[in-house]
Amino acid sequence: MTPILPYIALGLALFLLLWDFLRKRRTSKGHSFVIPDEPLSDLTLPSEFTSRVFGATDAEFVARQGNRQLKRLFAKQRKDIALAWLRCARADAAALMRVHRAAVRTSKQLEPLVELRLAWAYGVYLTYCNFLAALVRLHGPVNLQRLANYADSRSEYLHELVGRFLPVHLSVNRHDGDLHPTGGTT
Amino acid sequence: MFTEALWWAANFLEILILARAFKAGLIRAYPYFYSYVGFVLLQDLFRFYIYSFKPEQYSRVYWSTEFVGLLFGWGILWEIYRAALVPFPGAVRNARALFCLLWVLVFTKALTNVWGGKAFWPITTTVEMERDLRVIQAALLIALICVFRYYAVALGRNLNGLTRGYGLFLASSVLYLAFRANYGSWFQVYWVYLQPAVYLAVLSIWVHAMWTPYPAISPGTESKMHHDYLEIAAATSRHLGRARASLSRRIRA
Repeated sequence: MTPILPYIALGLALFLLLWDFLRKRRTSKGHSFVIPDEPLSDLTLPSEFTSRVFGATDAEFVARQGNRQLKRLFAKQRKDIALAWLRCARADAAALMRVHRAAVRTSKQLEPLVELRLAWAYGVYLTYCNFLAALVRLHGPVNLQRLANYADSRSEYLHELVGRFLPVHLSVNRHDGDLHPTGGTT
Repeated sequence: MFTEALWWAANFLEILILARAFKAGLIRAYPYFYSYVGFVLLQDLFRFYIYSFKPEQYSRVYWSTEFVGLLFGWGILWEIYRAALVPFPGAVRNARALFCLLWVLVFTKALTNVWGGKAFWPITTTVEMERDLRVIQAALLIALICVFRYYAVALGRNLNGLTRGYGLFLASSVLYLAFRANYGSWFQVYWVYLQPAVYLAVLSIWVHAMWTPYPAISPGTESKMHHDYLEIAAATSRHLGRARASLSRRIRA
């Protein structure tokens, strides 16, 4: 049976891809083709809001009331809000990548390695978001600092890893973690 | 009786596709596709003649015409690639890179066979050979569909149907050729019904899709953009980097 499995996998993959591709049939119409000036997650919610969701102040206040039902309800609502915020962060990044792809698909200068590097950066970002969402589900949004630090260092490592293997036209600016074109016009 | 009915139905649909192509003026838009359909029609009639009058030669004729058909199949892939991606030079560059990668993988596999003391491409039967060539075509079509999806390339009804039909044909060919190569005569019983039935479904898709001309949707506003590619790429990368930094900063705050 084993020698036939790769063929079955390939055949089924093509079936599924056709089904999925033809079901969606998305067009690029409706995109604004404008890459926003502000950082993505700042567009979603004000920072005061997230500092309260992920901070301990409100949780300590509720804990002091000594009501277990209230505490449970608070934890559930905070978890839902945190997960919704992470979903927004993911959706913003997906929208950015959609706009990017729509903007560059007609460019004769497109470089596959640069695209690969961006796809990698996007993948790392999504992994980071998903890891944080898993943490929020398991632990709740309060006092995530230590685990978030760990996740951040891992995603930073993954982010830098691709730069080592794909040293293309974009170079890392250590000062702000941004990527700029070498000799580019920005 | 049933297989004969399928066979005649397939011939009728092939004639219908070609007739519509002449009437709707689609021949010039998709010359490779219509060459393929024309070839398959002639091939079917020729096979029928051989089957009826020189049955001892049928097997040889079947496999040799099958391989010519496979060559015409490359034309369809080329047609899909050319017609869908011409307005998207950026996507073309990525598609080419992906195709090169696939060919490198194919040759690496062949070279590892040689390194391991086997033949360059170990094939013992014609079924295996056709299976492997269809596998390469299927892999290329998968890569092409991935590029269409990634860059949101909107195919018109004609191209969509062409892709759907040929994709269905390739996926089913890979599956039943794999079963045929592995299980031989046992699978032959099902193959004689499955292959023409699937092919009939493919032809029905093509008849529906190629009934009237429906050009691919060309990119609209973004074609007027004159931004430097690296500027856009750097901006995207910068935003992703900032988003990640902002996310962790807020959680740690």
